[in-house]
Amino acid sequence: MVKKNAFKRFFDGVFGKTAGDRVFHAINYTLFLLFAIVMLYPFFYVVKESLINIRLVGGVAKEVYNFSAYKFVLSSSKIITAFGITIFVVALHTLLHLFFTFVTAYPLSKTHLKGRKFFLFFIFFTMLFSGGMIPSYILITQVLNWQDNLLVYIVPGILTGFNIIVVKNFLQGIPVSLEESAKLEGANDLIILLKIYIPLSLPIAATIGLWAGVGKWNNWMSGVLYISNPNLYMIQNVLRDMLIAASSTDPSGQNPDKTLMAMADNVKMATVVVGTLPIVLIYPFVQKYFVKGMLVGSVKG
Amino acid sequence: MKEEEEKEKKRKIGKYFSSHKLLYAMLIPMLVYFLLFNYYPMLGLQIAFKDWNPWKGIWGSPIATTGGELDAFKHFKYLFFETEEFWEKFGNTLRISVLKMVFGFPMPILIAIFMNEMLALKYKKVVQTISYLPHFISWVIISGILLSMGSADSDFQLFLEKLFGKQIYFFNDDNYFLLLLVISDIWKGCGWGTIIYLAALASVPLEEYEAAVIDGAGRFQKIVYITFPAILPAVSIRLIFELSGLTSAGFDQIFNMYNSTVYGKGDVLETFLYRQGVIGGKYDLSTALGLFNSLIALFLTLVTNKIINKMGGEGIW
Repeated sequence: MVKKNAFKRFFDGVFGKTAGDRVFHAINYTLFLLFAIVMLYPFFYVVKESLINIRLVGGVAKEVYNFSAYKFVLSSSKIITAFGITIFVVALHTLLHLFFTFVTAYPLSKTHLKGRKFFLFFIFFTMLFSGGMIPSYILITQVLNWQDNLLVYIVPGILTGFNIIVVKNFLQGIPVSLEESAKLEGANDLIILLKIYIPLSLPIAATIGLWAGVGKWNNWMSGVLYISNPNLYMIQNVLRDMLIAASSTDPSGQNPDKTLMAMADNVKMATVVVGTLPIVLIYPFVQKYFVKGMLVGSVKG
Repeated sequence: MKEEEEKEKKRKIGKYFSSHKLLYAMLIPMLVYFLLFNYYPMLGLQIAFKDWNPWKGIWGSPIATTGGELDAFKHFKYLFFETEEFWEKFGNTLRISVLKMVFGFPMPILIAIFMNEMLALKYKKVVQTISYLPHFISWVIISGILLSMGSADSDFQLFLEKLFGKQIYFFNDDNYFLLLLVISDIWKGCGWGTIIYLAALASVPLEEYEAAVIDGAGRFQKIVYITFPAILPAVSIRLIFELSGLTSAGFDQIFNMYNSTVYGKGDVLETFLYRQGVIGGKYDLSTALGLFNSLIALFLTLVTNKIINKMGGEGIW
């Protein structure tokens, strides 16, 4: 009896009490199930393709499922190198991004700072207007000469106007009383920032750090524009040569790596899986920071 | 007297700067970074009015000339009046943006409204988490997967064959390519787009719905009179943001998906700019094109922000 009641309570709680409610919820849940399947289908597709291996069994080609593509990916020095470079770049870029964003946002969060309006406009204007693709291309290729140099991955994007303003607003919300007592003990601004403000800003630091990190992990444009040596590729560029340049109609004008283009389909798909896995794995745990960041971003700066 | 006051003032300012030296020093990296990576390229826009000479660079290249006479707007005249390519790409850009907006904009709103009706909260949470995922996958990977799915006799094509009686080659036909751009854009963004609406709905007190039930309101009426008004401010802000991005059709997506067989409707201003500039080396012409695009974007942003502020909403500044 008790069990039955518990089940009924659960059922009513999920499907409602009236017949109309039940029909609506049944349809609604089904539609969202279909929705989830559509969202996940391309991921299933990739995993399945990565496991298919074509073998000759008694003279006939047969599809066999196994992990041979993954073994190949994890032993290919090209792919491993690209992963190493990607992890190094993402880690260093994210750290530098956080450091410089906080160092910039801190003085701007002091409303007494003389010239603050000017500095804020100086930053804000970069969000409104840009020189566009070609002048930046000239800067990197002819002024800085950063082709085939890892700096081209690490430095651009180390500061963004948007993140500076988000962090500045956050820091402004921290009470000054904490700072005043530290000042009496003789601490300077840099120490106050490191010892008082940053420990109180961990949620916002996680948010913008994750933005910067995922953005770099997914970066492919720097490689297309500035890197011609495949040994310096990040993982997205390896994938681009494998998947897109190999389709032979790619109009990017890049000179793709022939050995990457020629890899078997299951190896290509296994590389997609390995290249996406880090994001898929950490993402459910850090989702709340992204969501928070999205909402911070929609609030006035 | 006055002189002394001024001296006093100067002394005070001097004292302010010397006691806040470190704060100003902290701004130096930012100044250097933006001057180099943002303001220097803005100065580089001058080559839109010059004849690019690779040995003389941005500053040394001479002002553009036609037949020996100064003609600073030569590249703009060429784009606007002497070639049809520009208007063709401009039309393609608008067509793709508008299609994405018409079909893509309502999706997160509908999803958020019906998600809000779900009573099974765990299930709702799982669906939400799944729906955000594509947002974090790069267009390189998505395009690679779609190319594989779209190739002849793939599992997906066999599925389409069962459904429509034929396989559909999305990458070889202008119109199917547009369909592919719109659908893949919705797939990537519709889940993530619900966040702002779900946050707005989270702040609606449950009592409002309960009171409506007591007044005899049905589900549809609750959606129309409570749910929709609650997300309306967010909807209007999102709509205006979308409008301000009208001249960028989605470079990352198109660049990784298109090929020369779909240039007819799939080639947009930014991809055209890339081919003219980076591949073709026509830095002056493509910078003129880029400047045109940046100015339109700036204009749209300023106008739309004004509209948001007028509506009583909070603009971005």
